[in-house]
Amino acid sequence: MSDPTSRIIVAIDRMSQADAHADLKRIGPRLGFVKLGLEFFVANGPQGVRAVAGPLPLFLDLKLHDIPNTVAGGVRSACSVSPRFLTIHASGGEAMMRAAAEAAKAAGSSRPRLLAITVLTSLDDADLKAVGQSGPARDQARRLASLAQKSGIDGVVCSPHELQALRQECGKDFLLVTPGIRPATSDSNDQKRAMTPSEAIRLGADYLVIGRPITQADDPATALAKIADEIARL
Amino acid sequence: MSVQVKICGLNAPDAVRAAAEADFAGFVFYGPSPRNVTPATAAELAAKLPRQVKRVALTVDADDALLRLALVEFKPDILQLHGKEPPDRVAAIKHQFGLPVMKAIPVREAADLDAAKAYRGIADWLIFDGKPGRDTGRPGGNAATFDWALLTGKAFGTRWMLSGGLTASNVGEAVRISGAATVDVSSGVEDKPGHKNVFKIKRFIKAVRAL
Repeated sequence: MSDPTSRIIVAIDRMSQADAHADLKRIGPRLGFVKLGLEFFVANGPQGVRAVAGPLPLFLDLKLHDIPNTVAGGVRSACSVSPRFLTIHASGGEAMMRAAAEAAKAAGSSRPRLLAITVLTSLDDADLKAVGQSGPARDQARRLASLAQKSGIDGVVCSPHELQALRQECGKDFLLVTPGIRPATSDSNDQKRAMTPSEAIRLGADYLVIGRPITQADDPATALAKIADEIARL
Repeated sequence: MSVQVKICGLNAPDAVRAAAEADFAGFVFYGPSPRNVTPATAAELAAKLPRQVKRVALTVDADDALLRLALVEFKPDILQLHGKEPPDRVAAIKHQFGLPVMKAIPVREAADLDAAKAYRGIADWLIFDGKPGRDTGRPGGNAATFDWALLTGKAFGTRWMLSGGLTASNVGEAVRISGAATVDVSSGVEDKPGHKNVFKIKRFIKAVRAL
């Protein structure tokens, strides 16, 4: 099996390049995949993204959501920083996702893999109802994951709770990328009912997104190494 | 939604044929059960199943000798442990026999789910089964449902299936409330304990496929 650190995506949630750089430096050379999101991108643009990520595989978490042409344009522009993963909102609909997939394909062999966001974790059933989407949130997430797959999207970002159902639903070639993972030893921070890295991998996760348990650890390099070792033992 | 289905307690050829459309087929190796079969009989019956249907050997507090026999003669894909096997016994079985293990957790109230915690990192599957109100002498297949809302939004760090009193008419509701991705049925597709009804099996699978 490949080095498990290539399956651990470390979320760098910073606004400034200096802070992001400092995080990467503390994590050290075993860092194998980095995620940068809206806060960083809006502040620093594509140049800032590559300045920080360097040659590392990059998860660019922009959660694009607009009319098909605009999202396709966004995907094309994002290709300038060669992200390995790029996110879009599945609720943008099939035409939007198909346009995004086409745009990504044009980048050839280095094309970004597109991941769909289904239901934001901040939304509960009542929130969904308020915006006119039919719940429960769990069913809506599964429905949107299926639609994403049908629309040519490579995978979804999903809650660890959904891994079993989505792996069944979407088969083995659909990427499942899971945040909300807490190493067995760390405090559970703000996400309840955490699952451990090895549990998530066993349930079918391809990649784990882990932020604070690594970046805010007293020793981020060791925190990452511990998670990698836990996965390697499977 | 592709919810998977396990038909448990198969003991006759026509029932096995009907279960060919399921995802899991369970055979019971437990003397007191009306669904009990020998591993050799189970192997014969299961030979008619398509390869993609996973074969599950259900035992209850079995000793190594029975487990070995089940393994050698029946060649299961999964060992279902439906008794009071403590976590260290489950770990030992998993280690010794090298197969995925599924631990049954009897449930009547919320506190019963705590038992699942002890099997974290050990069991490959959990199966939540209704705990009958009185002792029936059988740990499963008692048509006992439980409050499915106890499972809503829960994660157990491993795959799990819902069991206990499911039928073609209540399985949709059970899945909707519990969020189960896999369901298990035995008594719900029988005319009486140990007597599977082919049409009920087909109707149950159809109900699950329609979810």
